[in-house]
Amino acid sequence: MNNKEIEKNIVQAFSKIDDGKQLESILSDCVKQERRMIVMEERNENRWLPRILTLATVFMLVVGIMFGTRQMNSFNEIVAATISLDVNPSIDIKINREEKVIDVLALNKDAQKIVGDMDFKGSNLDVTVNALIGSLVRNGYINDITNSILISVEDDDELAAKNLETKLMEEISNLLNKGSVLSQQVKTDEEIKKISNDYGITLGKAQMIKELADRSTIYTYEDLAGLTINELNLLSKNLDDSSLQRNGQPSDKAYIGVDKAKQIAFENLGVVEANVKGLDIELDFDNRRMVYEVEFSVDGIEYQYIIDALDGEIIFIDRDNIRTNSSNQTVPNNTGTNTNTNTNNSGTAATGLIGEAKAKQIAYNHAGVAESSVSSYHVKREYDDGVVKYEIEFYVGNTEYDYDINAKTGTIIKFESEVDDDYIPVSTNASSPSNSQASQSSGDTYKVENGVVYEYDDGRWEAENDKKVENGVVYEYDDGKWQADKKTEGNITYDYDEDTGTWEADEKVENGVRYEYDDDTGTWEVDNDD
Amino acid sequence: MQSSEIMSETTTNQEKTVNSKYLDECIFAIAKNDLSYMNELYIYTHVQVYSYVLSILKNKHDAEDVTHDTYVTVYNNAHLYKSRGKPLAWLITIAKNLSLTKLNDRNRFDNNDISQYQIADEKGLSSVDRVTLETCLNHLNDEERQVVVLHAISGFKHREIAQILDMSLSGVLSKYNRAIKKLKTQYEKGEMI
Repeated sequence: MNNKEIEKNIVQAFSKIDDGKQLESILSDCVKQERRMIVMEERNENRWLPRILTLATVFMLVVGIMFGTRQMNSFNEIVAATISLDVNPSIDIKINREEKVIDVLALNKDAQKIVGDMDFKGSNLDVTVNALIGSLVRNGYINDITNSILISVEDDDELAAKNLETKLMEEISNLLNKGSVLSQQVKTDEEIKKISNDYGITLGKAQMIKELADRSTIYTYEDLAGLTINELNLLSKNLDDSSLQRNGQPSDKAYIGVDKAKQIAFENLGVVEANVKGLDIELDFDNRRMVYEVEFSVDGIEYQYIIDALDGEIIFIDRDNIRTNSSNQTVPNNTGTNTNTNTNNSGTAATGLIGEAKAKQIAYNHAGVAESSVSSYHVKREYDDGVVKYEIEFYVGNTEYDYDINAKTGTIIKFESEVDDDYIPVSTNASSPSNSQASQSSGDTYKVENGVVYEYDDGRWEAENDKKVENGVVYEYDDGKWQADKKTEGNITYDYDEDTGTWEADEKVENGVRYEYDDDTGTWEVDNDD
Repeated sequence: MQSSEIMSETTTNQEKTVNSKYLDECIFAIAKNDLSYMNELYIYTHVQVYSYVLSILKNKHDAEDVTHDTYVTVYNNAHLYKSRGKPLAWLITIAKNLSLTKLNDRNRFDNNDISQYQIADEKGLSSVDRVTLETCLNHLNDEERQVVVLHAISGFKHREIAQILDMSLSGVLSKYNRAIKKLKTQYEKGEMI
């Protein structure tokens, strides 16, 4: 049994005794903290609840009704309609034809806080809605920053649904005089049901994100399912002929605002608004964050800025001609140093990016190769996970190098190089002309220089103190002494067996295929792992 | 929120080691009060955190408490987190501090030292699991146990472990080797090799 196998046993055993069931109590304690912050905002409450009943009154009402209904045997429990309220808490209210509440369901954790111990069975719909909206505001789910609520009505009787929708829209809009109320009728088709199930959201929210995603090329259901109703409201604001009714504008107070976004872009480029044409600013959602897309043109060149809506950070700048790969463009008001040599550098000067030439240099320097020895060089600028980076690929001899370099800072985000195979190469002075090879092995990058094994970590090479190489044999430091571990002869790698003191064949590579040696059968078997 | 899809129970530990960049993102989102990311963070890191805490406290109940407190502390301090590309090390450091506090409390208020972890009470373990746990929790000394757990489960390099535990690199290496050797011996005894 080797170290790796023993480690595997440890992982397995500990994973089994960790029940991993603390999430709920963690979340509820986090929420408790959150509520403490909300208490401080309670002074604003009056502005929010001009006409709402106080919680105490509602309780008395509800309790009174409860007593009343419990004795009423003929209470009609046939569900005529379901009304969903979505803020972030999601609540379903089931009512009968007389608009008496049959049941109120808290569909997520937030909703449990809202519903609490209140029992609405038999209450009038409007009393119930009143109490729930009151609780939503009191618990801070509806406030200046997130003021949106979605009402979804599901009723097979279309006319009844329409009436109910209108009535609730009016009622809730009255209660939330500064809110943004959305309403819709849910038309349950299979797809909406599937989205609702897949992401654990209400049918109403599922319908809303489906409408949004269907009309966009960039949103996915998954992206949108994680957003709050307020965020979705902001994104769907500009949709034409949406099936949503809207009363009041969604709050964008959580964000820096259109004016600020515009100002950031103009200042970055060093232009004044008077010289800008065709300005278009939209709040959008990109890579899990809310962003402002600021588009405009100056002197016939179109610019697009992506600016983080929360903190104003410039995430990405694009010029219309970036993809044309022309290298003789000039940038107006260019303040950055132009390191443009023979590579395409357009669109970078104003962005604070280091440029492709510089990125290439960083990669070459790091790999320790001369430009003259490089073949099939390839570079791509990518925007990924909120980072602009250069993806650089090239070959030196039969070694492939892959670099991801942060286009702003020039730091190496990722580095890989591969020589033929992916086992740790064992190089001796005689067999390896460069005396330096790097290889990717089980996620770690190693190289061997002058008998010392280096591991690539934190952007630099660090000597591995517990490994060394001598005469083609890899030694590991174990039990206070150096012990042979691995060696390579020809195309075969051997493992050292401490107990028998012999070398055992482990794997070999022939014609690019990796074989593993099976001790039991004494035969080579193709390794299908990769 | 969709974490259960991202990671099913059957994924191997290798796959569970999510990249630090994503964990960073989770912590930043938690700082902005988006608790759905607490789901993510917990799912991807709870085995590492719990195992490490258990390796210090050797007591199921205390380990569960401290694991819980670790994540709540993360929530309360997420806004102070500065990414150094090592989110897991941050979590582990919090877990370590809370564990040590717990240990002090325990020593102060509770005289019956909890010396042995009761593996017999655990269900669903294979014989290899039992030997592994018995050895790790009841035979290794405190340092050996913490080193081997941090290396095997959290995937920290020896150098990083030296930093976290404030030990020398050679100290970490020898503890690690001794721990592995003790495990090997126990497996041999149980004829599991």
